[in-house]
Amino acid sequence: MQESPFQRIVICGGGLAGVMCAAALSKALPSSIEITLVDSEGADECDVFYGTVTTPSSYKFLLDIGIGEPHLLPRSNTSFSLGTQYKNWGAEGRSWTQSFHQPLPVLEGVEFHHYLTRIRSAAPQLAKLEPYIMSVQAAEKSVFAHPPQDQNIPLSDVEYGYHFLPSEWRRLIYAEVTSSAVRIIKANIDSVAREGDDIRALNLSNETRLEADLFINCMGPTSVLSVPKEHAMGGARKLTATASFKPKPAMEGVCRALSGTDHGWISKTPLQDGEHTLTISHFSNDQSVPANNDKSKARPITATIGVSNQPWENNYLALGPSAAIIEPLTSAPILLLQRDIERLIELVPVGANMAVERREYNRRFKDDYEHITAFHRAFFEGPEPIETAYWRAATAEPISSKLENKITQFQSRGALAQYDLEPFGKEDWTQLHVGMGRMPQRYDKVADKVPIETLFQTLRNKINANKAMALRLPNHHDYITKLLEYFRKQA
Amino acid sequence: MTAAGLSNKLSGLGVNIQLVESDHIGTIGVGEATLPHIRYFNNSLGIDEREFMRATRATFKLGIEFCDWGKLGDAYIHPFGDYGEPIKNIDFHHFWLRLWHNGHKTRLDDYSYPVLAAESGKFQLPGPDLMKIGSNFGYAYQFDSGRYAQFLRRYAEARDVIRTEGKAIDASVNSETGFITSIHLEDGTEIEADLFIDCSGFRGVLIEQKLKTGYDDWSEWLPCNRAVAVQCETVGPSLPYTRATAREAGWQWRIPLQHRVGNGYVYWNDYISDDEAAHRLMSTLEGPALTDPKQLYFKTGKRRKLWNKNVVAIGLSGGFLEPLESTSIHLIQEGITALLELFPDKAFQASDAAEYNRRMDLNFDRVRDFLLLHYVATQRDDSKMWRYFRNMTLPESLQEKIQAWTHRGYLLRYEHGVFLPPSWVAVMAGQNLMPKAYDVRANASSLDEVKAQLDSVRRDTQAAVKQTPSHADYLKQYGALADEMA
Repeated sequence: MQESPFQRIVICGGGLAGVMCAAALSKALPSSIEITLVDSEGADECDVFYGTVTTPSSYKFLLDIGIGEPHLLPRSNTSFSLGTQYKNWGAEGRSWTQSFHQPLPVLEGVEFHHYLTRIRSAAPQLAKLEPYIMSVQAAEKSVFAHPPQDQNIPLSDVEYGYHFLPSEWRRLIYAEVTSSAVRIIKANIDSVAREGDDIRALNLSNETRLEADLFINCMGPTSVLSVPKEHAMGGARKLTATASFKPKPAMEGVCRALSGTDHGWISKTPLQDGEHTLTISHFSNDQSVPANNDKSKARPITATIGVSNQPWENNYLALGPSAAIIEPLTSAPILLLQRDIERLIELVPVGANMAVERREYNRRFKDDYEHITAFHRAFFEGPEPIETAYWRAATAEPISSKLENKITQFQSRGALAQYDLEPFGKEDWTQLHVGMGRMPQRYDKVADKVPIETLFQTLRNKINANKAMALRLPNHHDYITKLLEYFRKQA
Repeated sequence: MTAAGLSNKLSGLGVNIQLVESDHIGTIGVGEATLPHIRYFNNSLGIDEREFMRATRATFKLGIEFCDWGKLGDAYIHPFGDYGEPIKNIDFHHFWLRLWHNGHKTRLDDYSYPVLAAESGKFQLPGPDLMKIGSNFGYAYQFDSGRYAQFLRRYAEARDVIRTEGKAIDASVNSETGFITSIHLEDGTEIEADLFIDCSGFRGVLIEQKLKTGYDDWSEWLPCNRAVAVQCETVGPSLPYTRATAREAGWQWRIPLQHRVGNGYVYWNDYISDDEAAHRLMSTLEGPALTDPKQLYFKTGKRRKLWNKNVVAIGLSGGFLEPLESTSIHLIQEGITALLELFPDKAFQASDAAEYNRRMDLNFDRVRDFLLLHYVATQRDDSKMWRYFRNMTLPESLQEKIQAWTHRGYLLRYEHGVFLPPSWVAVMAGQNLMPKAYDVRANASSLDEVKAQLDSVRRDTQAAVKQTPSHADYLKQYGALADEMA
């Protein structure tokens, strides 16, 4: 179909981004396209910034690359996740749960949260959002079960992601790539042979020269494949991530717990075999790094938070840590990596001329990261910042006009201003606004059509149904244990 | 529509709604064909479909047939529905393109139930089993918009809307705020209100004549500026689709209702005189004319602010886009929906209007691009108008969409806007914009397998259409025919 058929893709870097990309491309593309993964040292250095929580979309992503739950759960310490519980967040010390869930019921064509604004002063005990969200109720009791299809069962409102370790997923997916048609070369990249603006070939440390039509750089921010300065990731914030792991006989919780600290935050993630702790703090040059004698603690990793403004140039594409490093405050880092890979799959070039693909990839990339930046920035928009470097730097980041409109609309009238194809939807934004204490001044007047007694009854019923459901569900730990047993028997 | 929509949602909430209209001013009657979204509007009002169809002499609509657009002699139908179904998450048209590029050239239309049903004059409501062909298409109506207005007026009056007969000619303005405080009718009546919705048509009696809001003129892109409309008798069975035939200086519509056919010629008066246009229209009618030709004047574009101070412009007072894709009534509906979601209180916070205008601007912009696509995706250069479009610099948003399609059959998607990817495929493929390549993932299985798969979709679609009753029979059996038609 094309004069110069597109045949070869080289992926550089065997970190999480590189292996996920290789696995996904090899499953999605016809065998006529040859895929090579250059597994170089150090490509996984920044993987800790993928955090430990994925969104519900990971289920399908993994399934598409051949990793279903019967494969995922027994072969890694992955557990189920209902979201993140934020604690002691910001100067006001806010606490709330940012959970994965289906939309709440719409009454008289009016979104649910308007009814809570309506009764805020008349019945404050019924006006809190979280009792109505089944996922939050399950999270508070540390219980979990797969949501059923039947929408009459409150549990069907639940959506779930996973708690995971980037290193574990990398290992698991790497094994998948090994058994695929992808050619893996363990070597470092010595130099890059260019032809005009394009990359023609890579010269590898094992004396091979690797040619390709498209090069995907997943090596991280510093690499021989680095992008021109004007398109490099730039950011004002430098963060240090320190991870540690404590084995535990039983999992506690079904959410990541993330607490604000003076200099950043600390998260605790329940995994099958123990608790993972991640500390994020503001990096400063005079920071003295304590000697690392503790074997359970990994070396601290420091990175500049930032996004490339043009990840695809000529015939090379920056992906993963080469294109963006995002603070793992939410499930955004892994969500966006998945979206980047899915976008690439839709836009694998059809010939040597990739101008259309490049422009469209970059356009959607820019939109996605702009939306995520707004979502994260909204965590820091409040009355008063904490006077430390971390909080100061985070609040110094600009507020986009979209974010400004979102906050204004919600505070003014509980309206959710939506833009095209946002990675986080209405439910995520509603929980975040409410969690951050943004109280709508008005509500949709049509909500007044529901007689107050009927409304109270509807609300009480919903709370009670969720509570009763949560009591009937098994503990997260027990559920996984039984599920693993079941998978074993099936195998 | 606005009075009915607002009264439905706001009845019992202490909002008093008054409708000022005059029996002497009819509806313009240009937008008599609709989009499937109208069904949500009617449903939310609790309107019974049969009753509504009888009252408005409505027919079912499966799409629009475009004649002579890509080139003279061409015809395709833009249906309300997908072509085939995605295969392994990959859009169907990529597989169709693969066959096309390998010498198996078929019509994309043959994979669409609504297209084939429309072509054979058939219709039935979508079936309940979503796994079956003939269940997942959309449909709309072609109706008498004057009767629809009356139908909705009765609906509104039954919900406490006070109707005042009269014509607004002026308004009083608060000199400090610039807000309108009352409107003055021709007979001297003065009506006060907090919020004014200007549905006065092209006049824009409040939004423009009083508030001087300004107009974004889009004639550079959509230069047709006049129309002549006439109704004629139906000849033959009523068809479940609208037709838009490209002409040398514009295009001509044909909208079949139960009791008549609506016709009109939309044209650019630089390139054809009013008399010539009227003659062209009258000489192409399929049956005897029932009315005298009616002349209409317009300028394509959009009010700079659809919501300005305490005035919201809905309908032609807000903007005009030629009815090539039946968007006039749809944009009214979008306006009502957005107004209800952002309904103001007496404080009139600026953010309400700003958000309303942001949403509506996007709707208008995206419809504009889609309409313009029809004029530029063409090989026609047989008149001055077509040559004008050939030399046009397109809005970047449209240019990129066309490039992505022709380069590889890729569709630039958006979430907020009425025309989704299948509509873009229909028009681009229908007007001979053939992609040079397709998604490489469509190469995963062998050519024979793909061919067999597509053949079976085509056969199943044909079989499903075979079992569909004729549109005329279905109107009758469904109970949609007005008494005098039954």
